[in-house]
Amino acid sequence: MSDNPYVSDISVKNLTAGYAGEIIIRDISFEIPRGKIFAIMGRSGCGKTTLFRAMVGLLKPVSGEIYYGDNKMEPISEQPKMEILRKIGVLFQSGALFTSMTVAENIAMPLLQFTSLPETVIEEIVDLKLELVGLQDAARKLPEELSGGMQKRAALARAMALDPQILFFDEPSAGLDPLTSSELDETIRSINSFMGTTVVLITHELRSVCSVADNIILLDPAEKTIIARGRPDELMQNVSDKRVRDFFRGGLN
Amino acid sequence: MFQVKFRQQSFDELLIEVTGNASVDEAVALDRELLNILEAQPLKNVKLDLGGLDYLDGAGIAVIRNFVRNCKKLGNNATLVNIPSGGKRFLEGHESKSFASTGILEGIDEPDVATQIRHGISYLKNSSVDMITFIGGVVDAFWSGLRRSGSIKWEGLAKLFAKAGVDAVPIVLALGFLMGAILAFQAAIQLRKFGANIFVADLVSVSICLEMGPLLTALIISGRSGAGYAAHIGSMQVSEEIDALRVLGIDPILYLVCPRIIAVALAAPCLTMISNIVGIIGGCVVASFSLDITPTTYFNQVRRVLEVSDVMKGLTKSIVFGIEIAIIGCFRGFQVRGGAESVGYATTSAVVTCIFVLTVTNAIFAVLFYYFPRIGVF
Repeated sequence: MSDNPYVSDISVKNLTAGYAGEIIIRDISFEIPRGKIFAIMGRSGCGKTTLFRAMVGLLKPVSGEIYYGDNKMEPISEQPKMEILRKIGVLFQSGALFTSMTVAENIAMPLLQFTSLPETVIEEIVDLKLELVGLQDAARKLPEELSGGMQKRAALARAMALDPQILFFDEPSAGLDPLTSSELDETIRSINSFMGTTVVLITHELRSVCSVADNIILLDPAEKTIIARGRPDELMQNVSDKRVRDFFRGGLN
Repeated sequence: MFQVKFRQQSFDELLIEVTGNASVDEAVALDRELLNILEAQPLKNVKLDLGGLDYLDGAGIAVIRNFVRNCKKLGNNATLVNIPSGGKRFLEGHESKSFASTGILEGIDEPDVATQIRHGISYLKNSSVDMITFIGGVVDAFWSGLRRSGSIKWEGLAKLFAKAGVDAVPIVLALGFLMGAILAFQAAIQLRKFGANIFVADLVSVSICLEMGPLLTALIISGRSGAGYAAHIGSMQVSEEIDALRVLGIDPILYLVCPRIIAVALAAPCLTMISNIVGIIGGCVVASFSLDITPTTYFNQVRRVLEVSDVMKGLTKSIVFGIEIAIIGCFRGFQVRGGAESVGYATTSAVVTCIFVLTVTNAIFAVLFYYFPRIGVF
């Protein structure tokens, strides 16, 4: 899959971002290799979500740039980059399904927005995606009729509707029981391996990261920047930096 | 239950022993008893022995800390001995601590008047800038929506129109009728004195079509649709649905706001027309019962005095009112940050802003119609 010319790297260059004059993350640079599962980790309040929002264009950075391939990401509110948005899928922490629409309509939404496929084809795609997440029976239900785990899966189906080359997961296991969350991990891994999708995980769940991620960056709330990066096993072995050691050891004990 | 015993241990030292349970249920009694002992005795050094406690919870610990605080206040030296192991972390060395927590339950001081005025002005400035930016966004969205035909999704419009318009018909019927009836009733009392009964038709029809109809309908729409849009968009903001729209490349203003503006701008004149008609009918009913004016006479008089331009002026106003209500409702919804409280605030402030803006607009229209009587006449 790595020879697919459309699958792009993400590079974040010297990114500084925050809200209302307060800097949350400063001078962050990293590259996400194509087709890999990449995890952004850190303790609560370290700026994971800020970084994620800046990466998908929901937050205007104070300085720095984000590139998808050669394409520079601009804040959506100013200059939405359709060619980038077309390529990314986002699973929000709360699922963020449109509550006034059925599950099927939710999944059809990006297809209607970005393509001019005939309705029957769209129906087929919706069906396919529902099957992929195991929700065939819920197509005509409203989001409020689903359980938390089912809502997450429906939202995942929507995020994957356009077969995105990059999938963002914001705290995918938030509010899910261990079993459901490891099922979700399994789904993430299979999407990655079957379709070559680049996956960006924003999480503090060590268990799931260690089992699925290829690369990790670790943010620190005090430093407001990246304090460690590497493969999960490398970081687990890291004994030189106390913060990294505490994060990984503390989490698994 | 607990027991408190105390005795003089040496010439300047008092020993208090607490045994039994120091739990949240006993806390009030224990606190009072310890204070009573402190206030009654003259000795300077007080030793509190906690060795006999069977149970100690958060409230119990707080009572003991309060005891230490009281000792300091009364000029005694307190010492805690035999602290149970679970309470050590919170009690050990507490005698020497200063009481940083004093007063934390008192409200935060209000800033002085000058600061409040400054905050008020900057809030007004910010919200005006936000509002103008939002209106700019709406105009921009309409412009780009019209340029790229097909990017405004019209399917939802019928549903929105039904909700904002059709569903409001019953209440508009009821209130419009009552408004006409009340106007006629109040007028009847005065007009009867002069034998000018027939002019009730003039008064009711002109004032309803020009002022009361459009304004009353607009107020009903503010309460229903304005507040509804603020709450709906506000909750979408909270549940990340707006963000989800954005990353799907859908402009939330084009998708959510534009159809709502169109729906309400269409619904408002229709409802106003309904309200005008039932208002005049309401006036007719009262006139025929309390002023002995037959419906034929009444409607003939209405026909003579009410001009098409009056009705059109009212309808022109109601279109503007409708646009304003939809914009304000949506704007307040987009301002929501955080959680449920913010949604509630947005809903309230949508209605209040609507009422304010509607009244101001109505005044502007009154002046405009006076100087340019041709406005609204097509």
